[in-house]
Amino acid sequence: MTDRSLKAALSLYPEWYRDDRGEEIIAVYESVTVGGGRLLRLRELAGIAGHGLRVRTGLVSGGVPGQVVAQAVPFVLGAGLGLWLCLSGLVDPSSSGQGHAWQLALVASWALAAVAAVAGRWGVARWTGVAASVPGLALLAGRALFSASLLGLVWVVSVPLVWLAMLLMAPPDLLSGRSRRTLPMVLAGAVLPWLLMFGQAYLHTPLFWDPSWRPLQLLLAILPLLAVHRRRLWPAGMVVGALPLLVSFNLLSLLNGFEGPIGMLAAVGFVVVLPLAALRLVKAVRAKGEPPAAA
Amino acid sequence: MQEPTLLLLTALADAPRHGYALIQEVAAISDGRVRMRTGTLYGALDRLLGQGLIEVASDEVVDGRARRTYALTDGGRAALSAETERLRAVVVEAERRLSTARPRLRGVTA
Repeated sequence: MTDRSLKAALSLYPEWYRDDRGEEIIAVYESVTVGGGRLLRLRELAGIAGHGLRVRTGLVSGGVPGQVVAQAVPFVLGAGLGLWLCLSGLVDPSSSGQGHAWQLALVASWALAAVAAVAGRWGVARWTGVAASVPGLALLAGRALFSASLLGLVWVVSVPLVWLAMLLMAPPDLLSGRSRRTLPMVLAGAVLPWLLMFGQAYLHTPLFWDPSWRPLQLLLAILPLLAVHRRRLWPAGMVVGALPLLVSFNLLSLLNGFEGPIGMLAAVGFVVVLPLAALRLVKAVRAKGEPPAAA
Repeated sequence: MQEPTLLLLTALADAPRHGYALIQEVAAISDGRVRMRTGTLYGALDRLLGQGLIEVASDEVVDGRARRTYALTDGGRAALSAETERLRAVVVEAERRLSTARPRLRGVTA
């Protein structure tokens, strides 16, 4: 069973890496897990599988994309907390503030993850965030299926799904200890969902809420590339963490008038085209030699 | 410098070591606080190799197992020395401030 699991984890590496390092990784895994329990083996296998996926996708700690995703993690943890605070009705000005028990449990889980990040306990923070993401995704998908269109489902689920991917794919060796930037990043993440959903009730400005501003907000997608170009990784991480929510919020609003096949085509097209375009841009930046090359 | 980087460079400061020995050394240096997983170790080693801070010292097979040994490069040794100096300066300054603050605190509470 363990052999099969280890082979499965190693199969996630690209072939060239497996040929070069596979035997060595197996030897270390066997040394580390000898006499250990099932939990230890599972943790090691998860770590190996995660590293394999990072090598395959280029999100390694030696490369700029991996470094940006690591910078996004505290923002994502705060955003998860902010999102569920809003969805539970706890910070909704029009709500009585009575959330369901499962919503409150998700708020508590995200709050724990955010506090752990601020305390520098990144393992706890990440895995609590991951554990809170899965039931949250299921609940959002269920809610969208029964109350919204298929287009709405795509957008509603895509936000926590992208955040979950960021939490899982961030290189763990770049997440360690306390940093003075963690708390501001967590708070910024927590405020954004509230700002988008309910901020208009308090801030009387067209910025964010007037439909005419929405295409301009989508231009924020360019900011991470500019930040990376200037080797400012933490602003890039913040914008990358915010983009799923900003894009979803704005595009859903923009496409609301295009229900049916056209809306679906636009949604799927955007979901496919945007990551491909981002990938090409990142590769172009890396090829220029501006950021450090991936290991 | 990230803590895993500092711990790995410190583990290699006195002698070249292979992967499992590095995990053990990191745990020992951090007094058991940091237990690096295999995937995390190789992510960090890839990065340090890419940055030229460490190098592969030898490739061998021991008891039928592949064993690659890593060593600090001159650049890695210089980076560790610089970080050590930075940490030493912080410690010295912290000790100086603590020693000057103690009489004042006594004065306030007396």
